[in-house]
Amino acid sequence: LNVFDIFLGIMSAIGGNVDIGQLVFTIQAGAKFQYLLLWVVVAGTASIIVFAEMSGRVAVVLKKPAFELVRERAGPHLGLVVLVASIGVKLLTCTAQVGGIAIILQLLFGGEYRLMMLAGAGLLMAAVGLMKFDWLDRMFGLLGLCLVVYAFAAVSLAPDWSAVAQGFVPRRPASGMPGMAVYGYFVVGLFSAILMPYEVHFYSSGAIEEKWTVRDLPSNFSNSVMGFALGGVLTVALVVAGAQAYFGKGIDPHLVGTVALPAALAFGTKGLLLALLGMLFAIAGAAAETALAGAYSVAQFFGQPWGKDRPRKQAPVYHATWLAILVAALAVAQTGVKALEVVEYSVIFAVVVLPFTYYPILRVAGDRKAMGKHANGPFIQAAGWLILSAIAVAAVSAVPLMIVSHMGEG
Amino acid sequence: MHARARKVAEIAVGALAALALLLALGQRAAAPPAPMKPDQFARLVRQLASDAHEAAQLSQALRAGILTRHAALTHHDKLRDDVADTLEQLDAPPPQGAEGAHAGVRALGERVKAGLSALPARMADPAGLAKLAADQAQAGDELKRLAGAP
Repeated sequence: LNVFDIFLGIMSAIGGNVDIGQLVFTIQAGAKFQYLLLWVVVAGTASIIVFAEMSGRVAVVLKKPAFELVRERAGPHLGLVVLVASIGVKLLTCTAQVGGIAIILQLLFGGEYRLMMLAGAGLLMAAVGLMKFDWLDRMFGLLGLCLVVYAFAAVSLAPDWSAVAQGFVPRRPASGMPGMAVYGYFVVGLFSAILMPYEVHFYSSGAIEEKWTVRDLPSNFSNSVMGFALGGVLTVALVVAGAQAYFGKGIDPHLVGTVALPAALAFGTKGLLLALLGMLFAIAGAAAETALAGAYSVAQFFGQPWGKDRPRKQAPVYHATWLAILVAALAVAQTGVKALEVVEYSVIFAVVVLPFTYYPILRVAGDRKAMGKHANGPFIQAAGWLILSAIAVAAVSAVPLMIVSHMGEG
Repeated sequence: MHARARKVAEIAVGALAALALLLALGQRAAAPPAPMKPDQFARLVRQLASDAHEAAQLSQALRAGILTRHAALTHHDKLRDDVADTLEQLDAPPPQGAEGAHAGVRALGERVKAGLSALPARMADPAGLAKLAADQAQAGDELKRLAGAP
């Protein structure tokens, strides 16, 4: 296995686990419930590993990425509804990322918010337009790894490790913590943010972009396990760092600057700069991932040619779509909407689309006629159904919990 | 016949949905000024308390020399905007019976805002930062008490 081979998994995972909304949401989870939600991170990470591996395997064996399966299994009418909903979620997510990039650039270099947004979005469009697919995932995957500083910060801030270990077992919130409605909202929000549908749209298309064949199935396995497990470790570190920096101190972190502070508390300005750099590339990677995932979905749904490395003339719909998503996201962000409010809506509404993304993958991956010896074994198929049931429960409860908990504010 | 019945049903559903929307919009347009709900008031107070504690932490971090200039100024600006937003929302009529608490919250909010406005000029003054941090933390504790919730 070449070390560069695992960057598709790392970029997919970082784009999902530590994008702008997830960064703030995760730190908030630690600030409100200390280590109580760590079990959700483990459950979400295990779930995305199972489904990312499945989507990559199907893409490699059948040469069919995730959205082609959605169209085939859901039919053209329901498929179109899923496509529109999923593009809406991707646009919301991308808007939030573009706003987030501007805030990080301000935290690093100062300057005016809208100007920084233009600069950040311009650089992002240039990178997506000019770089080859494998260099895109290497750059964002590698530089996003600066976020590992949170893992060191979590250790350096000296948590009570036995309390951390207890967080991996589900428990009710203790007295002094927000109530069950807020707890439920954070469970559903964390779980679904780790399973955001654009991750598998991007990952399965990326497997085809990387020209994987059945001989690369071990690479698919290591990408999904190592990449998404790394995303899970970073998320655990963020929860612990958030708990150490803010739990019991009366602070409800809801600003990007607040997210960077635990790294500064642990390692001073060097920690702060490393955290900001990691956040910049993770958020920019998430923006690129959502825009490209949107382009894959549209082109695959309408049977148009697609591919990051294909010339624009050969795949005009694909190239026009990712550019349109980035431009639309920039235009919406320029109106001054708050990036973090936008992303909270996107995460919760994405949950409703989740079953329509994961159900077709599970059905096809378990189909022996189509997949032959590469079909799911009984254990993975059972795990897939269990996860899909959890996703369905999350999908049904997401919007009511958002209303009852006032978006987690209690 | 089947297609015709389906079309009639679709038109009926569409007309009912349009009527419901019009009624809801009419109700919203004709709404008289109403006091804030108590839980909404409590959320705003908690938000303000959190901002006050965060402002105190920002002052302490500056005093400890662990922030860069741009990070501190940008974070300060966002925090100040957030406090201004919350204070603007507190302009609404208070819940019945909470007029006294409302006035107290507003006064404390203005204190937090003033403290944040004073921060940039004191960024290189450790004694001034310590005083600011103590004052913001005290305002945050008082706000938290007024919110009466975790």
